[in-house]
Amino acid sequence: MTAKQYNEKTIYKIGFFSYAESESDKMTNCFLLGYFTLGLLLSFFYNTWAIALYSGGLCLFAYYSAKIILPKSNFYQYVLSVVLGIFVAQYIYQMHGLLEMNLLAIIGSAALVTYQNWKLQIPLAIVLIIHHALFAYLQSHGFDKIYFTQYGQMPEQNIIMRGAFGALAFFICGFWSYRFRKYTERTIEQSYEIGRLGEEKLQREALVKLSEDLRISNEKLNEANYELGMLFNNIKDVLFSIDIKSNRLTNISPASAIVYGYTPAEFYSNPELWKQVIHPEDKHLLKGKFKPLYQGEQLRIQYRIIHKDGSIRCIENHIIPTVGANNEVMRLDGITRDRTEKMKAEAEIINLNASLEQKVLERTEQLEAAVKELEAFSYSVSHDLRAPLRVINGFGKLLMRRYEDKLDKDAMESLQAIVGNAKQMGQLIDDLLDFSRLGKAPVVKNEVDMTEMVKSVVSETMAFEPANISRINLRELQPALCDAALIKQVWVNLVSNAVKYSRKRDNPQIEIGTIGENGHTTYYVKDNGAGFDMEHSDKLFGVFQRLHKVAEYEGTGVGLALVKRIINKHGGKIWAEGKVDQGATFYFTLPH
Amino acid sequence: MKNHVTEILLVEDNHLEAKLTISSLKEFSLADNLVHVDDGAEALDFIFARGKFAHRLNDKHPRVILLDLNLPKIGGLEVLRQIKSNEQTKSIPVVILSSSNMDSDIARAYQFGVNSYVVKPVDFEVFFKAITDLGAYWKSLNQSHLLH
Repeated sequence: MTAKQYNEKTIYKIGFFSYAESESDKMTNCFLLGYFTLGLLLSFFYNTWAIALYSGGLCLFAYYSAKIILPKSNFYQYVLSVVLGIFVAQYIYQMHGLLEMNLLAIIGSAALVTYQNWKLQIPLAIVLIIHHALFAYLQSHGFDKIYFTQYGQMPEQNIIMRGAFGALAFFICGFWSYRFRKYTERTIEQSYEIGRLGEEKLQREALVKLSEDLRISNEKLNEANYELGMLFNNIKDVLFSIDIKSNRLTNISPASAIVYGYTPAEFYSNPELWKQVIHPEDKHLLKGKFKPLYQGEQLRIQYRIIHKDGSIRCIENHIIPTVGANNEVMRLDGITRDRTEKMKAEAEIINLNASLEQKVLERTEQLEAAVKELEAFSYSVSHDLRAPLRVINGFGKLLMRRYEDKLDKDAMESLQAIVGNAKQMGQLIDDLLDFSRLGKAPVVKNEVDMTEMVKSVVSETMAFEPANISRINLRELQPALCDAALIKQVWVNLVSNAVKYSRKRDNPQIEIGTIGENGHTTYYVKDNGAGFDMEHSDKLFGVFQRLHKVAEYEGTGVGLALVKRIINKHGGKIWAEGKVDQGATFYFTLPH
Repeated sequence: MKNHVTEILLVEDNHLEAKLTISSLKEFSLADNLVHVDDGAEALDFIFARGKFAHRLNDKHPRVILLDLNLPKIGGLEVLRQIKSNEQTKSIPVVILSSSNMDSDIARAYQFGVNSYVVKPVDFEVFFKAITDLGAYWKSLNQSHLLH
């Protein structure tokens, strides 16, 4: 039995007895009042008012005084025992020595049983023995002041009988008190045990359930703990915790041996180690940076450290403070990550970018130089190649003009060939220069009224046409967003081509129009001229590519290449459909 | 002596081209008082009466200067610039006869104050027409100038 259980039981017992005592006290109050009243009643018959009032009053006073002064002690019960004895003596005096009043002592003795304490019988017995002994002594010595009736000598047998009966009564009452108390105590113990057992059963059931729950959550906790441990021990980043009160590193993960080169043990034994590893040039970065941590703010900071192997590493620290109940920071938890590779990669990117820019600059310079060279080349082509052609053509013409009458037909034809070819070559050079110049010119787009533009192109083209017999059917054209000068060149080339190739027809027909609406407009120029074989359509738009002989149709083979280049520069498309001797149609689109 | 007044100064390094130009001008009797020089330096000497032309009287300027651009020693544009930046010579009409149809050349020539810019065509017929038109124009201008 544990101390706790013992205490519980004692408290339980004390509680029960104090309840029983308070019930007995109530009975005692009535009992004493009855005794006092009995004294007063006897006074009516025997005129013993003084004894009834003084003796009875003093007895009541003594009892209640003891009870009030020492409420927690059972001393007042002993006083009660004495008082009951004194009341018996009082009645004997009031009844003028009527010893039969001793019977009242047995009633008092029985009344004391209610307190379940056999020792309470003793004071009552002592008072009566002293009283009777003193009374007998005074009588035998002839003390005449005793004012009640003389009985004379009592027979010895009578005295012994009375004493034996009195002792028996006290013994029985004392024995009852003892038995009564024992029985009560056992009952209390049993009822306590029964109650306790019932409670224990419930408690045990609750405990079993609780322990089962606890076991399950413990298992889960163990699992989580295990996982956390694995994480803590195997993560590549360093996890650490610092206790603020003791300003000590309480935890650091094994990864410190990789990131810093120092093991956790080294960090535990040297609290200044983390400061010592900071790169001297980066120490200023950390100055004052830790203050906000103590106000509960997180810190993220990047700096360089010197690894145990001597290499310089870049790390990032992320520290999170934990604030306690009194708003004070209790602990810091942090994670340290090695950023060296990332920094290297970033530096590499910066370097690459720089070198890329350098390369672009160099290439641009080279390109610009190439463009300049090309310009110089075009210049010399335009100037130096044309000069001799002009001389050939010029002197040929002079010869033909001045010696027309002296030269025969054959010579004149030869001269015509020289002059014509020189002119042809001059034209070729001019077209080529136009073509190359177009590559450099930027496209300036404007809203263009295509109908107006084509009208003027047609009239200009027909003005140089000697046999002005072509019938041109110009329909309403959709306006377009394009470079007016360049697109005019397209129309000039397409219209003059149509005129040129349909010239030999008996009834030349040319149609110009659009197909489709808004944004998907296709422009076309259709003729019923020489046409072409679709098999060779890929050669149509190439520089110097011709599908017809110069003798049949003049031209340098640059015109359509130029047209294609202009349309491409606008982001549009150009294509052609045709059949030999059945005409050709050229289509082009311009994006909106 | 009126005969010695230079009507036209032709600056052209290619002698054959010069001969073609002169031939064309001759058709309209415009080449009688024509002086032909080969390069830019010589042209400037003539205009400002320096070097081998030092004997020339300073005030007798040619009626018109036909100037090629691609010249040895001093380029045509530089010759033009010097003529047009001198108070005494800037009123002389200058016509550039060039093979170059480069936009930049044309723009700079006009910037320096050229009076006319003619791109020499390969086809002699066209060239001949351009030259004779030019000659006739200046001749008529000069005649009206003389009347005043």
